[in-house]
Amino acid sequence: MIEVLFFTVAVLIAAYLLAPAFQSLQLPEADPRDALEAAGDAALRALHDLDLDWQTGKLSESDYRAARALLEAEASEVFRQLAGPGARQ
Amino acid sequence: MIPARRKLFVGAAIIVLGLVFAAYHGARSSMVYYLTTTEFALRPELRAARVRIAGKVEQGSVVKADGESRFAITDGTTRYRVRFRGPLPDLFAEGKEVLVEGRLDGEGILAASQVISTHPVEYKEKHPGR
Amino acid sequence: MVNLVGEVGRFALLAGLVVALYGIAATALGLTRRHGGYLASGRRAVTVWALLMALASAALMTAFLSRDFSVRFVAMASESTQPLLQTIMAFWGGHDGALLLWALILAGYMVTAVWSLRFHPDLQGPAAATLLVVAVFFSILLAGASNPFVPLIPPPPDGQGLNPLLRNPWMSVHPPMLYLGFVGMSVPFALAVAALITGRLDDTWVLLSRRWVIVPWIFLTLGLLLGAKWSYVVLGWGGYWAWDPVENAAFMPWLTATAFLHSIQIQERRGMLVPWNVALVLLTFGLTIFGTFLVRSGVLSSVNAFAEAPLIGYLFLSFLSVLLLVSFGLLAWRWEALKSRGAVETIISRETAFLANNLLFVAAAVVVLLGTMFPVLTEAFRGVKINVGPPYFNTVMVPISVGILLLMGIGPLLPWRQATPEQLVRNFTLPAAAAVLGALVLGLLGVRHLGAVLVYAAALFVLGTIVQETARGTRVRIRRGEIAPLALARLFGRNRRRYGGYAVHLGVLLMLVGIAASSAFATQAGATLRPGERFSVGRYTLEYGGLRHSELPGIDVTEASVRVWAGARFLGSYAPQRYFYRAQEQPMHHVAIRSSLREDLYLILSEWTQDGRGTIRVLVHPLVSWLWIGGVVAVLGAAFAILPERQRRAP
Repeated sequence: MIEVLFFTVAVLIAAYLLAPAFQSLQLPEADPRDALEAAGDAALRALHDLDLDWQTGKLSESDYRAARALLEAEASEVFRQLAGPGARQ
Repeated sequence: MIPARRKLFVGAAIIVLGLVFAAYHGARSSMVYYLTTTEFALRPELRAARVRIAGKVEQGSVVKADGESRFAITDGTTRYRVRFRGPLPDLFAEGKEVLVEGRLDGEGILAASQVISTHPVEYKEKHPGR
Repeated sequence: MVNLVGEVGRFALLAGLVVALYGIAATALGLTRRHGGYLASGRRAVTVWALLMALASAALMTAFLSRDFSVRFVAMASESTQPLLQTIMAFWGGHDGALLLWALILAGYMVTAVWSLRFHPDLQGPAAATLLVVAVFFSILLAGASNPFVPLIPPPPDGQGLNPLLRNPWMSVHPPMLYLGFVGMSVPFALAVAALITGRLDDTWVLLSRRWVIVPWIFLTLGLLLGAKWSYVVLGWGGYWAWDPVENAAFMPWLTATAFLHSIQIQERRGMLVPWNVALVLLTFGLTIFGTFLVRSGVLSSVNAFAEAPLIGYLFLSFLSVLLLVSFGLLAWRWEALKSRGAVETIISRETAFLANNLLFVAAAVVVLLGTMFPVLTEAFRGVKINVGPPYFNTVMVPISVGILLLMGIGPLLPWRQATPEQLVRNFTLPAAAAVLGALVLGLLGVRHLGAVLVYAAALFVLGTIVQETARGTRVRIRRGEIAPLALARLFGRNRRRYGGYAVHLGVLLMLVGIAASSAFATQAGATLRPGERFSVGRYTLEYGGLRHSELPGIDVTEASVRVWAGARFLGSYAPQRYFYRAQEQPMHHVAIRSSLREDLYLILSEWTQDGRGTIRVLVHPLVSWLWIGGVVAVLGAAFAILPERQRRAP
């Protein structure tokens, strides 16, 4: 009795598992924007953090300006690429 | 100007050396040899060392007087007498496994500084599943 | 009647093994043949494996609740008189059930991780396959050597009952928390392997693995704390940490995970240390498996030679070696591509502070590992097992802790890349003054314990930096016209990572202060008294009021009544007890603890005589409660740090 039940369950599992294997789905590709978006997030976070560091007095003015310019350049490069060809609407 | 990289390596090396020294020192001061009674008997060079001996408490050997407990431990072949001042562990009983930590005194009795109960079930299941 | 739950459980575990194996094959085929359908099929295997583990767990729980002693594991870990909570706890009160709980938690993590990777489809497949490899390992154990559904024929009339040491409410939460921590580290491991395979150790990986390390880190911290609490309340020796191999096993991955959570910030900000971060994740996972091996195989607890470890020990070791070899092999293969984008420019910078932090945390892990493995190592090299005790761990961990405390103060105040002298003076004057002043006051008060004074001074320094950081951040917002409470709330809310991190630091410093105080200034005393006799410990006077014997189902209870005064003030009556479990012939302490912020008074009934005299042992531990409070603060801080932040706008 119980064997019949187990057999049925096993068949159902096998059917569920194998079903998609017979479809020819596209292999999902990495979205190149994925990494860029994360990089953009990181750049914005770095800018935000740098500002707080500056406000709480951890940097000299000249260091702050230099670092800010560098980070801004990085961030705008990332956002330029994000807005470039293939950009999401 | 020394490059930052080299300074970092020197600093790291100093810290690591300091820690190695501390570790060596700590290990030396707290080392105990961990043996069965027979192994201990077969290693005369350890007679003066601090040891931790595993064995069963011999049936009928436990005597308590003036806050001192005396008993014998054995692994079936070799037997050592033990004396110990202090509270014996909860699971201490004749016929049970114990660890005795201490040194041999002049009379060949193990002067224990610590008696640890290693009732097998208790030890394995003490922290279940971790 | 056939043993239905047993049959269902065995079926689920066996089917689980097959499904997990199939999932690996399907995913691997999908990746190599670039066939999306196979990959989708592999993802389904993850879901099905999870459901099968849930089914097996439900079967085991049913067996426990229906007291089905024809299942051997149930008969070993429970008995018919046990209350409900203990019956539920018995599920993980033994080896086999603990492994099933482990698999169930892995199932939960797998489904969540695979689902949350749907936006990163290239990582999803390899990560799922890696997790399935871990699943296969546990399925092999569960379907074979550690099957909790092995029948017991004929079933005994009653079970043996749960080990009395585990019959404590803390034990109902400690193992699940610890497993949530241990098992959770498989997800960042899988992410690292997936990122190595796809070559995508970019900002996405940083973001994902940070989150997936913090979550198990929180559980692991809770697990360690609950284990310490259990040890303190149940074992009756007055301590909470003994450098026991079992404790060390849980502590080592915590150390490397903590190192990772700091060094990942260097990668995020400066693009440095990528291979190092990957290595830390792989190592953390390796240490969780290794820790389980240490506990499960019993190699360290027995005097027997290492080579006599049971089969399960070899399974663990081979699994561990294969995983580490393959994953570090992948790392070596990607090495060239992972070279550093940046470099440390000057010595006084946040980069250096993080590097020093990593050095200390990893050194701590190595120290603990060596100390734990010392008997095995000496046996291999010198033919005799040598143990090292707490003094070894303490002599190394005290300087490391002081160093880590100092870095907790210094690091956050240093800017990235380089600092200028004026800024250093401006930032460090106040906290350093607080530390020096604190040390002087302690010295004048007559505190002569060098280690403790160092820890307190360092703690004051860190506290000073945290207060200063909060005050300055709030002041900036107030100057912009925000009212004070709102400014503070916004400061925290807009900088969750930073201030959540500070909260963790605050918690850790409270814990270290508590640990330093309770280990440096503990006092203990004991006395054998007749009813009505008194004795004094420190500022306390205790009066022994005699014994009372009573009975609970299966347990003989002996209880001493002790009235306690501090000076002339009556604090109350306390009742340290001894339980004797008749079936297991096992005595157990039920200590009485009076806990306050200042100190814990810990009362133990250690012996008694027929004529009513009792031996009471008393321990006074200062600041123990700070350890628990600090732990809670640290956990809450870490949870705050991973709350999703508001989306920032592009400039």
